[in-house]
Amino acid sequence: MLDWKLYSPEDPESRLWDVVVVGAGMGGSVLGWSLARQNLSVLFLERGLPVNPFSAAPRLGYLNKKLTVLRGDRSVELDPYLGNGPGGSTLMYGAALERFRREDFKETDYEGLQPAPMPSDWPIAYDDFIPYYQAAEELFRVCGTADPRDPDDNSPMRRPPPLSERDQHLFDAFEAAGLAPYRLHVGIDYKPGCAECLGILCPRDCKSDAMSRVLKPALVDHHANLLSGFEVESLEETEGQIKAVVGKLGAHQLRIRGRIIVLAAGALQTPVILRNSISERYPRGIGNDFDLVGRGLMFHISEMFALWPTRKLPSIGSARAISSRALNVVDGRKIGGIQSMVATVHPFHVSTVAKEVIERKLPFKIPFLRLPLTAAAVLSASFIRRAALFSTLVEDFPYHDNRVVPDQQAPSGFSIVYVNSKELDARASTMRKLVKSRLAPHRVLFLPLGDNLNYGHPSGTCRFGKEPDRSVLSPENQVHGVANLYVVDSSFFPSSAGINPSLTIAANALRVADIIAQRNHHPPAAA
Amino acid sequence: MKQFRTVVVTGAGTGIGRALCVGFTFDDYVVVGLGRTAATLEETKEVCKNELFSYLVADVADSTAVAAALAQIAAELGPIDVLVCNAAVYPRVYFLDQPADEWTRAVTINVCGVANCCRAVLPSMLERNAGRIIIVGSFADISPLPGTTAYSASKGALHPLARALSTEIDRQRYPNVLINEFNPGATQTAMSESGHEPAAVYPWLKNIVDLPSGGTTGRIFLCDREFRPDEGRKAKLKRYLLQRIGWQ
Repeated sequence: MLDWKLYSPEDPESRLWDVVVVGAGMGGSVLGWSLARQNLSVLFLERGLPVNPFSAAPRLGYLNKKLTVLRGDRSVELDPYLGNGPGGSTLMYGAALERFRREDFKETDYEGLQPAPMPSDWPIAYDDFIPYYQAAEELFRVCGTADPRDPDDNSPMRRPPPLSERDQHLFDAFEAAGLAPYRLHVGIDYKPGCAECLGILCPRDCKSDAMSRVLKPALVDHHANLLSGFEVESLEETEGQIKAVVGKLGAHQLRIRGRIIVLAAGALQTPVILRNSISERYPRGIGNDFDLVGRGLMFHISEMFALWPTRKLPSIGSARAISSRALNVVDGRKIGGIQSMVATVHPFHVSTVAKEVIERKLPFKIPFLRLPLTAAAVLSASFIRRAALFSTLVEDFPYHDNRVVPDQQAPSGFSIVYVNSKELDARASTMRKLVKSRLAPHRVLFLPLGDNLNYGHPSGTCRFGKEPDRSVLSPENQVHGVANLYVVDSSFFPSSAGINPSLTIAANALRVADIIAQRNHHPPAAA
Repeated sequence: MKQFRTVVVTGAGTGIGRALCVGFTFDDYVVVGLGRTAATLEETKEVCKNELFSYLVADVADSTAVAAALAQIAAELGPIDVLVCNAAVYPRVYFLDQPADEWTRAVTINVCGVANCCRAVLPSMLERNAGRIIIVGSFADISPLPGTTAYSASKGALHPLARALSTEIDRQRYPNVLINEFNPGATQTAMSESGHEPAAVYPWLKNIVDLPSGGTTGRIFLCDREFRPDEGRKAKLKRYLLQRIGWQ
């Protein structure tokens, strides 16, 4: 295990770092690694503490405090599927490393939707981005097979382990349904005994996460430093430059200086830091001249469903296996993708769904309904366990009113406002109908889990774009008007594409690191 | 006037080993610590009482080195009365990810190291009919966690090692030579983030040192008392009554 104390700077305030990276998640770690390799002095500032994979299960959740989400008429508090600590959310992710498609970079035709979503085109050429996708895929050891519907899919992928009989049967079912399946692109080595650690930290250097593939090498091989347990609160700006990063290490306030500052605290926290950074030039927060910081928040809609094979088949084998993007665009409308989930269907989940369906249909309440339903579910457990679990990913459009706002009353320091638009619910409904109809006669059971928003995939809150009045960042991910400030977490996404964000965050971080390196040919000696 | 004078603690540079050395010196025992790293042993010396602690650098897995070290201690300070076999390693790594020689080394330190130390002190203890051997163990073998095969296997091996060794000592002839296993439970050291403070461990181990001649031998002590999982209520009552009337 890494001796973290070795890489913690003795006196972080005394040094003028070349690059200060706020947040050691996917974006921050990849960028910091790339620049450390190019001999710039890099300091990572990470709010969470290092997680030991052999200790108690790493805590899910944001600062161990709940997120406050205003969902229209009601307010919800929840623990999101987001990580905390060196490696960020990649510590827990399922390592699905999928590319956005060429059409996802283009402007979406909103067909006269009212209210209109925000512009969603990407201000960079897809062809220029492909080499960065390839580099990220090699770095994170992606395995899988090419998507037959994606002519651009030239990923240098490793061969995945063979499918179980049941999953091969389901793969063939997807094929027959015209869903053009392929092996999901995952960053997993599949060492003997691999458990496809979804939701937990891999203790075997088998799942490729930001810690193992970039952060650790940055610290051990390329002289980067990491200050953990440090919460960044704001940035100090004067004359169009960030002079320092201000935050708390325990009870002490520290002021860290860097020539270049890169924010990568996540699409929820980065805009809060910007909004809380008030200066003479930026009375409403750095980069917030046009009230765009924090707006355009996107999650995906993710709905789980169980899919039964038509006969009982052995299901021992890799579970995170099948992906389909054939429903990306249907009749001109953006719908989304389907991918395997690890874990089997649990009888209690089925009984909960049955209870909700029954209660919705009947005009009266049946007392103790849960009891017989649970009994029935337990009795049919072996049947339930034959099913494979999948998740849909439906793209949500960026709306001006869906946003993150600083909120001193909230436990996490900010609130989220997100209301599902009607068109989003309609497209999610279309996805469900398509899945059921296409995969017939295979039995499909959607398993609603309260909220269908995927809180693990926030994006869009500091979008990049060419025009300063319609974006927070330039196409180089630099905050418009602030020469030495960049943002490389998923805040920069103009659209969410209904695709797992990690690979795009990583590829873009490599791209932005190259830009920063080019703009800074001769870093002066550390002050 | 206490019965024993000289104590040897292995793995004295850190964690429980260090806490035990501190505890013993403050109870005025002469303590010699064994370890592999002089720097940490020096740090232990600084926190112990006065000049009562000294150390030797030796690897318990090396039987020749251990024999030489313990002979040197006996020659310079007098016979060793109490031996605490505490030195152990706890690699956290999945079995298939660990090189073969590392697995073997861990088991060698944790099991053979204990045997090497016992072998070096036992003859003198038997000659004088005076001695306590305390083997620091663990119940990791009962419900081991993933990534602990070498550690759990080695700790499981210590239960029969202590028991079997104690059966070889005739209780009629050598009633004051007692060999027991001591399990401190989870303790906050390099091995575990959770559990009690290392300082809490010394008083419990001291109970075993203070066992009277003819006292308990070949058993496991968990924290402050003897561990008897298989004992039903009737047996517990019988044992209590016998204890009250002084029958061991």
